[in-house]
Amino acid sequence: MFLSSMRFDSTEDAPSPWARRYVKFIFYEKRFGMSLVKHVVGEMEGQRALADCEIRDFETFSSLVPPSLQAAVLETIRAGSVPPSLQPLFRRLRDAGVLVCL
Amino acid sequence: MSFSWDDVNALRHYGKFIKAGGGIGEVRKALAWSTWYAVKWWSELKHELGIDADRNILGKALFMSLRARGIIDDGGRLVKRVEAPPRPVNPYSAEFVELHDSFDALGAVEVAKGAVDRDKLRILYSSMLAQGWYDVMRETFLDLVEIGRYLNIVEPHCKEGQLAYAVLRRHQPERYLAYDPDPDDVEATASLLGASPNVCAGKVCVLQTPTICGPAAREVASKFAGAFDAVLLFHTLYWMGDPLAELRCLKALLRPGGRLLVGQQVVESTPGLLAVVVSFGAKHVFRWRDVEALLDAAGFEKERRYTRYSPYYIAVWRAAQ
Repeated sequence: MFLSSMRFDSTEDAPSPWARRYVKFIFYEKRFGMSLVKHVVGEMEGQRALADCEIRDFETFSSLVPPSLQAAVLETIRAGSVPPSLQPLFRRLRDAGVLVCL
Repeated sequence: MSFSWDDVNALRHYGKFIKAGGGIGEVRKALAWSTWYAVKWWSELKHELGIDADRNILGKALFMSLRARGIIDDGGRLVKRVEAPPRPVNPYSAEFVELHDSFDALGAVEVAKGAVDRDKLRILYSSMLAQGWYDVMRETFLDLVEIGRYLNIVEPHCKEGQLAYAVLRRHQPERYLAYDPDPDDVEATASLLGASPNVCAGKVCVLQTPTICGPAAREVASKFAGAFDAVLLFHTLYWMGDPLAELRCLKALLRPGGRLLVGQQVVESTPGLLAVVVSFGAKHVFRWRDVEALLDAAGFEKERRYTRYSPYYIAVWRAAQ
């Protein structure tokens, strides 16, 4: 379902973000085998969901998340893709209403 | 600069972690901050809660770890002065101290009284698990216990699944069973691993259960993998309600001679970090000797101990026949 929904042959200027992600997808498939492919698909779907996220409660965010990690979280929001290492933290931030995603 | 036997073992077996932390000098600064914060938090608890200071898990951890270092006496009074050390500049060592800063901002007394919102503690816990120093610690542990040798692995109290992810990223086990009592954690783990909670059809099974001792959970585990080659316990024992019973049930799931791969923070390890972590819902704190007594009583035999407490207890145990 996910693969059929990708449009890396679109008329947009190449390389599109989806094309770059597809290369990453193939890389993971070759390196780690099928068991991780499902995960990477999940990760890529998560990237789309992050398109419109923002820190809503900056006070809680800045007091609880250590400074070096704050930078990583903000960079991730800007990039629109969450690396696996940050996925659980993003989930917690969303659950607590600190991060809001449309 | 003096070195204990455990320091030498840490350098020998945990060199990657120490290198990433900027070398022994920087790591020592970070560890000194952990002790400094522990003294600060204990002083605050004593001042606010008096004789009840060690009647909660945070206070108990602080009391036992500072007592083990001779910083406080049996009555909890400070008997050794601890100066604020210089701040480490290495990024990994610095972020270790930052974790303590964040916990300090919550207020140790408020945490001990249970007045801090659970969501806030969960964010801090997730932050810790996502920090670079923790990742290096996790990876170094997996290298040390040679995780690649084991094909069928069970991980109790998997929390948010980062350890399972680290194992699956580097190794293709035939079966990996992770379980946890918390439905949120089970969902987070399943999501991270690309699995569905409580569906044990593929190579990965993420199960919501408080214990593997129950007949239903045991049956799922046995059907999923038959006998397991290894139990992975990475800072896990303190989450278990009844660790001895759980360890015995885990032993029953292992094939004869199966291994228990243990990494466990103990009171002789970093006192501030121990206090932070137990505040996330731990039920026990252990001395390194308590850990060994527990594993022995559960029917395991020590195969190799790497470190007793610095940076934490690390050993491989074998299921006795």
